[in-house]
Amino acid sequence: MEGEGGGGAAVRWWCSARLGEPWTWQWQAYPGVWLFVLSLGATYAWAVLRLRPNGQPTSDIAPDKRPTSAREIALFSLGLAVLWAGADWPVGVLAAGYLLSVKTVQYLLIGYIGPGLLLLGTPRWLLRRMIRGRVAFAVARALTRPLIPLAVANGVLVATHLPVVVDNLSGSQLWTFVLDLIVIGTGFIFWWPALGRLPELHAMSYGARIGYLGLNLFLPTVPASFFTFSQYPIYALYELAPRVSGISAVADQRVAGLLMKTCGGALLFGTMSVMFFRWYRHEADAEPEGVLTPSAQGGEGRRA
Amino acid sequence: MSRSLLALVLAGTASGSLAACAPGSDREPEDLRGYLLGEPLAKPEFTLTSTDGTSFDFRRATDGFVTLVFFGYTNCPDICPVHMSSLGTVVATLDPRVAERIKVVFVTTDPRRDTPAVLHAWLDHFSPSFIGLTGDSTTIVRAQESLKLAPAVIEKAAAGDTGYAVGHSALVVAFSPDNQAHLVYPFGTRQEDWAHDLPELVRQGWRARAGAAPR
Repeated sequence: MEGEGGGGAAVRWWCSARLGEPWTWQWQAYPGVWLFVLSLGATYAWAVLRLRPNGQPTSDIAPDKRPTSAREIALFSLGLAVLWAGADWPVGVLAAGYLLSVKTVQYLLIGYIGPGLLLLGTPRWLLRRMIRGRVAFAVARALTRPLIPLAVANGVLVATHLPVVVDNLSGSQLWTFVLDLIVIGTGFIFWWPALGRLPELHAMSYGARIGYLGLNLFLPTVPASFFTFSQYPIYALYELAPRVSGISAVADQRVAGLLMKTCGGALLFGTMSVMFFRWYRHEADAEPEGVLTPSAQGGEGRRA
Repeated sequence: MSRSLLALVLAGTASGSLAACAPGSDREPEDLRGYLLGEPLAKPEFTLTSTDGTSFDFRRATDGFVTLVFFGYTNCPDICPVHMSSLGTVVATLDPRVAERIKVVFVTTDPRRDTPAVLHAWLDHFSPSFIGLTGDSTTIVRAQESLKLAPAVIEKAAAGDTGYAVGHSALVVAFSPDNQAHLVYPFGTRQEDWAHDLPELVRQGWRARAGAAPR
């Protein structure tokens, strides 16, 4: 990590702040990011191709009969692409040392959207295999209860945005890597109760999931408000970084606050809406046929 | 600014009378966040060309104002825009009665590229109240020397090459209303530091700071 902030001769494997170096749109390679994304993809491909619920190889099963759907593979691939976009150049470098607004975008990508897609793209049978162990099952069970994920997700959100953390650790590739991993891992913890992928873990009802997401809609408002309404920059890192496209540090910080509130809010609100309609459909499907319900006009009954 | 040029300028600055002001040295008075000079500097007399093309007598035009002087260039990729952006943001947030007693003067160290029009456009991006000065290299070098700053060093460039860098001091020299510079502000000064010190300097001046006279 030493010498990372300085000259360009040092090998850079993960996107960290290039302290004091003017921003350039010249592409730079970050092999650590590629390796990370490829490892995830390769592990998934191996699991999907070589494993099946009962542990037998799937090589002799026709592709359309395999227990992992094309939709799941597509979602997982999309999740990987989102993680890659959020961690690699240019987003990763801009986020690490130049623009707080891009750091916010990165947080949404690698801390919310990416993990959510990866979780949706992981087939249930594979999730079950992953938590077969007693400890893993106990952890998965505990995380299904919303209070722990709520506390972890918002605790990590606040901790990774503390000035002492951002200003002192962003210049180190190792620390940036660790923090990015924590953010990604927290994304899985955040979505676990909300997506309720394994019913046997006593997943929450749709209403409770909507309530859980609603709470998460509210809590990030606090840091977002700090960003939006602070008169001066909060982070020395972004305040003293060479300017990118002439945007001032305060303007950048306000954009970050607005992005956190609007885009983060839209993501959660959109998910809540989908859940609401699923809930509605679920209730409608569960309703017995032939039940008479009064019409809005109070006249003749209609068949539901 | 390239690192080698920056190192050269910082080395030159450190060997001058500002050596006593390196970060970590005693700050006086305690409640200000700039770095106290060992000996206050008198406001120098020099005349350069302002962005409207007229002659600008620095000593006379800034007499009695809190005056922040910085030597840099508009193609600077890092220090100059950060300093100017910080000052622009802070001056805009100050009480107008305070802000009108502050003059921010940016003197180019790259008069070849920084014409009055270029300076004007660049400074307006930060604050329309900022004063930009250009002129002949000799006068600009003398002005830097009068403030004990190492003169800027222009990177050697091929004929016609306009992409060269200029090494220059990263210090903002702050004159109080007494027309003396007691404080300098290095690169790394935060906006909240400026917001703390500038109203103090305007309202209290330096002479009025009982017991806080430079020792």
